[in-house]
Amino acid sequence: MILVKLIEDDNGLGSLPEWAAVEVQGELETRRHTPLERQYVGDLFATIHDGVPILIIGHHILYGKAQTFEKPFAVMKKKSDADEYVVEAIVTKKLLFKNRPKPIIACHSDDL
Amino acid sequence: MSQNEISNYVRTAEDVKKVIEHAKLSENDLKPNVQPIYFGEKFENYKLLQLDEHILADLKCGQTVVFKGDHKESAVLCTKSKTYDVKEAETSNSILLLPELTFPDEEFNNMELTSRKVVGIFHTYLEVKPCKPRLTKLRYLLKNCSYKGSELEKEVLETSEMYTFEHLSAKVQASDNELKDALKEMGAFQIDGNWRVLDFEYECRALSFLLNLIDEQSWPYNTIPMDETLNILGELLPPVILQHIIDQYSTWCVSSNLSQTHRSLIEDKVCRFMAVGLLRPCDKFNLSDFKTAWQGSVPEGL
Repeated sequence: MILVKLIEDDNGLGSLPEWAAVEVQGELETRRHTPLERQYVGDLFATIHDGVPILIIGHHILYGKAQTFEKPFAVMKKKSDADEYVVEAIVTKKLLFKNRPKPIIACHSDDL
Repeated sequence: MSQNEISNYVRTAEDVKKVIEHAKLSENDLKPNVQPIYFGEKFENYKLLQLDEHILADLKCGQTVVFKGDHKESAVLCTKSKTYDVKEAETSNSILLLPELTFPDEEFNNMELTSRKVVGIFHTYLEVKPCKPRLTKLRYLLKNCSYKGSELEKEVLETSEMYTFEHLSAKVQASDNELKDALKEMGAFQIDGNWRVLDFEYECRALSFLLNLIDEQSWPYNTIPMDETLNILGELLPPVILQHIIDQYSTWCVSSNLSQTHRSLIEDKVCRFMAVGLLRPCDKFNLSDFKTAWQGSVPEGL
C-alpha cells in the first residue's frame, strides 16, 4: 500500500502549484551524448499576432500550439523514508510541438 | 553549437537576436518576452500520474489516495470511494516538465530574457481507468477466519489471521467505501474489532434456533417479541452472534406500539439463505421436493 499525498506548505496545508509541459517529437539528446543536466536547450518565442509558440533548438525551428491535456497529470516523487508519494504539482497545460522540426538554413550556422 | 556543451552557458540578448536573424524571423512579429530553456541541475525522480476530475478533486481537498496491490496483483489506485486500474503508458514524444513557463496567451511584460528550467523528461506516465473493486480476496480472507461457534473459536483465533478494517483496506484492492459496502453485502460483522463472517454450517444452525423458536412459540413471523427471544436464545448463542443473526434477518416492527419491542423477519433474506442451505449439499433436487422442503424450512406464512 503506497499513499499519495499532496505536498504540504509551511502552514501544513496542502497546496497544488501548477507546472507546465513542453511536448516535442522524439528524443532530445546532445551531440556528444553528454548528460542533459544543466545544458542549454533552446529559445522559446511566441508570435504577437496569433500567439504561436516557436521553439528554436540548435539548427531547428519548431512551430507549436498551446493545449490543455485531456486529463491532467500529478507530478509525484517517492519519499525516501516512507512508502509514500508526494504530489508536488499538477500539469494541465502544454506547448505541443508535434510537427517535425524544420532545419534553419543559415550561412553562419557555426555561431549557433 | 560548441557552447551547448558548456554546462554553465547563459544566453544573452545578443545570442537571441542572432538566432532570430538566422531563423529569418522578424523581431517585430515576436513577443518581447523570450524564454531560453535550460535543463535543471538535477532531474528529480518524478513520476507522472494521470488524473481524472474525481482524483484531482480528492487530492485538492487534502484527501490521500492509495496504490494497492501485492506482488502478484496488478496495481490499482483507490480514492475514498472509487477504484482505478493503473497501467504504465508510453509515449514516443518527450514530455518536458517546467515549473515555470509563460504561455503565449498569458500577459508577461518582461522585456528581458526569462530563463526557464526543465526538471524532468518523460516518456511514460501512469494511466488510470475506473474499474470494479477486486473483492475475491476479501471473500477468501474472511472465509479463512470464519466464526464456527464458541467451542471452536479458540482454535480459529490461534490458527487463522484476523483482520481489522485497516488490515482489510491494506490488503483488498478496493476503496474504503466499496470495502464497507462489500462487508455489508456479505453480512460480515465485528468481533473484538476484527471483521468476521459466519461459517455457513454455523449460520444455518444459528438461524434455525431463531426459526424454531418462532415455530415453537407460534409467534407470527412479523411480530417477534425481542425480550423473550434474547432471553431464550441467549442460552444457546453468544450475545454478539445472536445480535448479528437478529440484525441480519429481521427489522423492527413498523407499527408504533411495537417498534421498540418486536421485530419482523426479513422474508427474502431468510428464504434465500434456507434455499442455499438446502441446495448446497446436493447435485440435484427435484423441484417439487425442493419446494416442499423449502416451505418446511421457514416459519409459517413466509
